[in-house]
Amino acid sequence: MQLNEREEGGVLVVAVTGRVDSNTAPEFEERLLGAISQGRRNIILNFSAMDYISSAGLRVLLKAARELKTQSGSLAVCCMRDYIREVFDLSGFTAILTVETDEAGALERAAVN
Amino acid sequence: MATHVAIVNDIAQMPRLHEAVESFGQEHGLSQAAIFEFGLALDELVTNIISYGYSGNGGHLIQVTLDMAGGDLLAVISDDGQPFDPTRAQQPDTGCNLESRCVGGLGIHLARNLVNSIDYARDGARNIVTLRKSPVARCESKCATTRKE
Repeated sequence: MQLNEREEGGVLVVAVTGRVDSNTAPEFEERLLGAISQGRRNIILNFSAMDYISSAGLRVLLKAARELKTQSGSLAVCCMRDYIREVFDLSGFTAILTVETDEAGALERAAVN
Repeated sequence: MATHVAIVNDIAQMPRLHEAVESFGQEHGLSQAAIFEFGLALDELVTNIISYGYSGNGGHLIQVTLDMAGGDLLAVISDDGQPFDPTRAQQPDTGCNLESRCVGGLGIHLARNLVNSIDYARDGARNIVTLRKSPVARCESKCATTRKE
């Protein structure tokens, strides 16, 4: 797993590459919750280069989304492959997280927040 | 020919299982989506065994066999952990909101939905879990009819 962070108009955009599984989820959690504790309120996760996510990774997303909600922030995920999207649908995560098909849409929505 | 992989009950060994699934998938010409779904179902069940199947320390061997049977993908997981039948595990509530969403059981929920069948048997001191999956990904059959992007 690789995480590349960049800033776009006050929004933290994190591009996730590779696998988010039980081995890499702890680092994913540390980085994501670390950014939130440093004051990041609006975060977009770009999953276009993400090959794999398991329930260990989904739990991290849920934790981060909850944390941001209590701080009146926002978490959006974008650009998932079809088969990753299927896992989001099966988990019920499509309904509880903001899912966008492209990054521009996610940025637009974050700007409104 | 069947693929056999044996791993010790340590999460750090999971990449070996993942690599075995990848090469099995390529050998049989499976799509990336089908390999993903099959691999994720196995990952969730084996991760669950490593995390909750054993009390105390010490190495245990978890054996996984991958094969084709009657055109289906077949995986057999054998472990000597506590008796655990994933087909009887409680279903999580996937319909609630962000605040109340409980995360327990999500892995097994995914595994159950990503394959066509899961069977469980206790054989002496071992749990034997058998997964069967059509070689066409859930996503491929569904996305083709419901999602045109």
